[in-house]
Amino acid sequence: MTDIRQIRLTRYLTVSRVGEGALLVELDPNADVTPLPSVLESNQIIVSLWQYLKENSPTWLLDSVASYKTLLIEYQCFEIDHYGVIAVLRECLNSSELSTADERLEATAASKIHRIPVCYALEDGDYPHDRQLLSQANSIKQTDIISLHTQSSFRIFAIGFMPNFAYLGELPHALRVPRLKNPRVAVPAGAVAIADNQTAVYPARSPGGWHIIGYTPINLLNHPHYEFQVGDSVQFESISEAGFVEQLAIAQSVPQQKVIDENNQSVLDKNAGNDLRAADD
Amino acid sequence: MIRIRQAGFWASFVDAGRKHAQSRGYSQSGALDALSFNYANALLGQSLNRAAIEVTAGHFACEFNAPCFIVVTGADAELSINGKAFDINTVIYVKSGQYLKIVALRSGLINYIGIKAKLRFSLDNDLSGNISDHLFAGSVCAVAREKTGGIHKDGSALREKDLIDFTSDHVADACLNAEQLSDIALSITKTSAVRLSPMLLDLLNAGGKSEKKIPFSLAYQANLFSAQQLTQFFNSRYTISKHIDRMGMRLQGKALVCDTQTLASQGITFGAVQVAGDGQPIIMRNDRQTIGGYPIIGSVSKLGMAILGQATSGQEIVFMQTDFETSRQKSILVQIELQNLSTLCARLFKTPSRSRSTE
Repeated sequence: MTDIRQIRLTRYLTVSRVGEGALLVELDPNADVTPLPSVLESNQIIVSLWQYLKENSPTWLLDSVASYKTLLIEYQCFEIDHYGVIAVLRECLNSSELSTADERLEATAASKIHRIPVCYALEDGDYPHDRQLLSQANSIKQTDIISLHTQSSFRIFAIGFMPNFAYLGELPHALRVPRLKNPRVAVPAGAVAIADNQTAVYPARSPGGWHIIGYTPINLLNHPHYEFQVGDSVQFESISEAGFVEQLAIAQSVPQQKVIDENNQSVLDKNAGNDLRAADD
Repeated sequence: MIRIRQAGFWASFVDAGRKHAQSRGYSQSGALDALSFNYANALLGQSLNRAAIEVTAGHFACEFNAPCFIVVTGADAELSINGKAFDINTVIYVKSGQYLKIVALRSGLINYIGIKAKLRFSLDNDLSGNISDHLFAGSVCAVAREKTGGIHKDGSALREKDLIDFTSDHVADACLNAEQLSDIALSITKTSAVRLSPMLLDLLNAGGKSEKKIPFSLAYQANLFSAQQLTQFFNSRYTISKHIDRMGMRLQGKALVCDTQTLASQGITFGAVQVAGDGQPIIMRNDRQTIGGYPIIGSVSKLGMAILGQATSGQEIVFMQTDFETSRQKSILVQIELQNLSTLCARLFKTPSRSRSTE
C-alpha cells in the first residue's frame, strides 16, 4: 500500500494533492461518524464548500469541478501552494460547517430549478426509445414512467461526460434499471434517459448505454436559460407530441443553435466508439 | 496579416487554456507542449501565454502580408521562409509577402509559431473580428469534440485561406530598416541560446527522444492498487498505442489489476492517469472530459505532460516516481527562467542595433 497523504479538513472531509496545482477534497469513506452521509448529504456538503470557495473567487483559482462526493480544485501553483489553498478551504468550511443539514436543505431548495419539457410519446424512427423494455423489466405501466419521472424535481449531482450533461438523481426505485446490454452508437440530441439511480438529457448526439424514455425539444448547448450547475434542480414536464413539434420548430428557428446542432452530429459521429472516452455515461 | 496557405493535419491557435470551464463540463484545452509554447513567447520577449499557432505533424504554410518577428519552437523540423531554410528556436524577421513553411519533421510532433504581435482574428474577407470576440472561457483554443472555441467558434482547426490580422507591437519598427531588424533577430537568437540552463535545454530536447522518462506522482486512488502492482507500474515500459489525441493517450503494457473498477465520478486533473477496465493506463490530456468513474493511479507532472506533447504512437514511456512538491518546484524554476528570458529578449528588441553588437 502506498502512502497518499490525506489531510483532514473536517469530520467528513479529507483533502489530498492530485497535481502540482490540484487538490481533491473527498468525503472520507472511513469517517468516524455513523451513519455515513447519504449520497445527497455528501453532495450537499461538497456543494456548500464549493459555493463558499466560488464566492471567495480567489485569483489563483483556475477551475473547480464538483461531483458526487469530490471537489477538484485547480489552482495557479506559481501564486500559491497547497497549504495556502487548504487554509482558504478551512475558512470556507468554518462558514459552511456552521450550517446545519436543515440549512443546507434550504439552500438546495433556494437553488435554481430548470424546467425541461419532455415528450414521452415520440415513436421509433427518428426517436428511438426503451419505454417498452423498461416497463417489462420493472413491471410498470408506461404511464407510470411519465408520472414517476415528472412527479418531483431531481438534483444535479455532477456535470461532465460532455458539456452541460447533468447527472440527475436520485430516481424513484421503480424507475431504476441497469444500462443497456448493447449501448447505442448514437443517441440523438435531446434524448432523456435513465440508468441506475440517475437520469439525464443528452445535450448532443453521442454514443450511450442508458434507457431512453423521452425527448426534449430544447437545445441544451449554449442555451442561456439552461446553464446547469451542480446543486441546481431539474423538473421535467410532460408535453404532447404536438407541443414537442412546435417547440422544436422554435428552437430550430434560432440559426446559431441549429448550426451548433448540425455540427455536433458530425463530430460526434466520428467519435462514436472512441475508446478514450471513459464509460461513466 | 497572416494568410493560411496550407493548414496541414491540425493547426490552431492555442494559449494557456480555459478558466472555469470544467465546472460546466467543457474541457480545459491549452497548448499540448506548454514548455515549447512558452519558450516561443519568451524568445519574442512577450507574455509567456500569448496566443501562438500550434501545428501538429507539420505540412503547414502561411503567408505574412505585413512584416513581423516570428519564431518556431517545438519539434525538430525542416523550416523555410520563401524556400530558404532556417532553424527552430531562431527568431526571424519576416518581411511583407514572405511565407513560412513547416516542410517536414525530423523528430517530435508539434510546433509552435510564435508571432510578436497583437492578433486579431477574421474570416475570409471580413476583417472586423476582434480576438476577444473569439474567446471561449477566456481562451482562443478550439476543442473539436465539443465544437467550441477557436477562430471559427466551432472547435474546428485553421483552414486554408483563413486570415489573421495583427498589429506588430515592436516599437522600434518605424526607424529601422529590414536589415537592422534581421540583425536584432539574430542577436536575440545568439544571446538567448547561450543563456539557457542545462535543465531547460534537457527539457526542450526531451520531447524528441523516442524513450520518454516521465515524472509521475501517486495520487487519487493509488491506495486501491497493491504494492506489487505499483512496483510493476514504475518498472514497466509502456508503449503509446494508436489511440492518442488531444483528449488522452492510451498506453499498452502489463495490465494493472485493481479490485475496484468503477467509482462515483470525480474531477479529472491535467495529467491524471486513469486505469480502464482492461488495466491499461490512459493519460488524460488537455481536451480530456472533466469527470470520470475509472480509478486514477496518480498524475504526470506538468513538465512531463509538455514532453508527452511531442510523443507519437509506438514510442515508449517509463514513469519516474516523484512527488508533487518536487514537480512544483521544478515548474517554478522553469517558469522563472522563461520569464527572465522573456524580459531579456524584450530589452534586446528595444536596444538600438549599434550598441547591441557588443552583446
